[in-house]
Amino acid sequence: MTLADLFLLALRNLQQAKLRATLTATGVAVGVMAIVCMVSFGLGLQENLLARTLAKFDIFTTVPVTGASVSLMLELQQNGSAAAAPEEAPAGAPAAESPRNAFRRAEPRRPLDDKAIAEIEAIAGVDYVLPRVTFTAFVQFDGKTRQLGLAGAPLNPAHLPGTSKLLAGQPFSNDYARELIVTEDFARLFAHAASRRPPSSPFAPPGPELNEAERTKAASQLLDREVVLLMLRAGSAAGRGTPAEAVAGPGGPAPAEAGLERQVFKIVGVVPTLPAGAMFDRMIAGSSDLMVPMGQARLFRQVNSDPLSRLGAALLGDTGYPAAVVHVTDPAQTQRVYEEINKLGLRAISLTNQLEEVKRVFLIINASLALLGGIALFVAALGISNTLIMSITERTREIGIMKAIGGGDGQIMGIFFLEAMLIGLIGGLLGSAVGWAVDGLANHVVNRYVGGGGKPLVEFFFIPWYLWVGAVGFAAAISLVAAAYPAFRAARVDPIRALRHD
Amino acid sequence: MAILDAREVVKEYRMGSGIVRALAGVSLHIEPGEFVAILGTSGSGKSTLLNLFGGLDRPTTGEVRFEGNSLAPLSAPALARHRLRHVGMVFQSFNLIATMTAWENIALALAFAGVRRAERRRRAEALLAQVGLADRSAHCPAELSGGEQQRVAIARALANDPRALLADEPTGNLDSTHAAEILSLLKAMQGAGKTIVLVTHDQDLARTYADRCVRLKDGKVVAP
Repeated sequence: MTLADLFLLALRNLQQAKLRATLTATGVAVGVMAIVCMVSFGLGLQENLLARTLAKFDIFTTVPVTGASVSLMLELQQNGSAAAAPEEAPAGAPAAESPRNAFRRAEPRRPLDDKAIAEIEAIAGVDYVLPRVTFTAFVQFDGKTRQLGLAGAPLNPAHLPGTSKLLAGQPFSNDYARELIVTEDFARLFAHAASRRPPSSPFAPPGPELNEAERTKAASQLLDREVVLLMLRAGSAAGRGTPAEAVAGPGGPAPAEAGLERQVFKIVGVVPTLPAGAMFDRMIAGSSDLMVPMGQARLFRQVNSDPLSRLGAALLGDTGYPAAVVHVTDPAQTQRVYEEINKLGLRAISLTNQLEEVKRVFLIINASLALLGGIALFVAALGISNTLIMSITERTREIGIMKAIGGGDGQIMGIFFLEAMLIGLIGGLLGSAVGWAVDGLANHVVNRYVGGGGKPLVEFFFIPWYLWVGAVGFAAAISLVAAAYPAFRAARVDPIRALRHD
Repeated sequence: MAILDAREVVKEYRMGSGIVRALAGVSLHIEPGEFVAILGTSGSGKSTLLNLFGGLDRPTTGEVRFEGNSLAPLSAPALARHRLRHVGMVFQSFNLIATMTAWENIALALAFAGVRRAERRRRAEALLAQVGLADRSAHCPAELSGGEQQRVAIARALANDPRALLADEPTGNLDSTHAAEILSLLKAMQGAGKTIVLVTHDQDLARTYADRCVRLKDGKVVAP
């Protein structure tokens, strides 16, 4: 008897009990739908974080670096070992090192200053190093004032943090020019009332859809516009002066006397808006909606640093940058560069390791969600077992007849296994289809009401092909497991007793 | 050499807390091409003996042989092959699968034997023609008379060209006309070279059609 014969026999048997088979398959469908919806939600989260956010940050050629914190530098200075390279273990140190000590040794031992940056740049395979220089300032534009974060950016437009092209305008003319490069949404930051932050979450409604030419045209209109940054005057102490006078503008009292300085910057370039949820770009690369030349940024940061930072600088001298991003020419070199930087006494962060960690976490989340859905499928599997056991009771005589005319135990088992697998496959396909429809509806509804309509911003539920195949395959596999006992029982039917069975 | 050979066969069943002895040392030799009728009252052990010949059951002690080969050492799959290839069984209550048509019932036995699908239909139709039911092949058992159902059962038993037909009260549910038809059919099968073992309690029919009658009483062979 061929597999096709067994299949047709199984199909015929299911047709004999349509309602029961349909109800059992529906149970499987519900279980599969639960798995598909749960896992697709987890995968949606993963996709949004990894694909939308991390993928924009080139993790394979990028190594974020940090130096020692001020407190650690003070501690090292106190112990007189500030310059000790981390790999130089004390003589006679035990060969086996405790994890705690290993962690201590992995801590940066020196500031991430210009000297350290130069040393990193000297490592073979390093393309360029972008120190992170960010600060907050009061920004006046279009008659409105906002407190905004600014970042220092390099002269080379290809090295701008968070982007790689200018929509309009040109790069900075020099490191100390009073020039700004802004994002195309810069004007929008000033369009709302001061008490309301412009939306910046992934759920933010999108602006009107513009084509490339319209975006370039809109960006060009920002060029040469003046922007005023209100900063503490170099050499003045925080808290002195009267900010109200400075804010009043050219007509009011001289800002210099107030300890504040009005610096007029000109927008020279416009870059595309940072994608929604570009947290890594903002946090690690130090990108912002407003960028000033790196030299200017250093000056602002120095002048406007907080009291503790000033104290640190007074005690230690240059405390360096909080972080920098090292760009490597070849992904194959990234691991070696990462190790070289750590040897310099700085801390390099391996984003690929972080990515693996994130993926592991998502694997656990998805497995937990699948387990929840799996409970529904487990209940459905009990339904399959029940259906088949009832079927055996009803068909005992038929099984006896098959055995009496030469049907083997394996063939009898095969019929029941295939019946179960058919139920699993039908239920699995149905459940996947319904799960897909539910996911699609949920995506639509969430994007419409949370996202504010228009083009869907976020795919909250993500169903890759392997989820389809996996869910249907899993349902079929579970069905086979559920059929094991009934099929075995069918094969063990005594033909003589079965033939007497009514 | 006997085609079917029972040697000192004892068959005991456990019934509740007691043991019932269905066969108490039966020896019976059936030659190829013979038509043997096994007579006896209800509970005499005749159906039990037929089931042992058919490999549906195993003796408690003693031995059953088919063409000189003992069935005792055969595994369950090997006994299934014995039922499939060597013997064909016919039952009092026909035992056709109710949801299958006449030809499908026959084709099922052919499918178990691994006959190709296209060949099954052709052979099933030929067998139905052989038992006089060429025009009833697409009918389900419920649409056939008792005699017709038994003829389908005989056609199914012949499907894989067995050397022996084992018929357990094949006329038990039929009127005398249909009973005579069925036994004539079995007689014709004997003419085609098959060995026929008929279990019945009808002495007249047995004496009319069988070459030899064997009487069982209380699990033992007695004088006819």
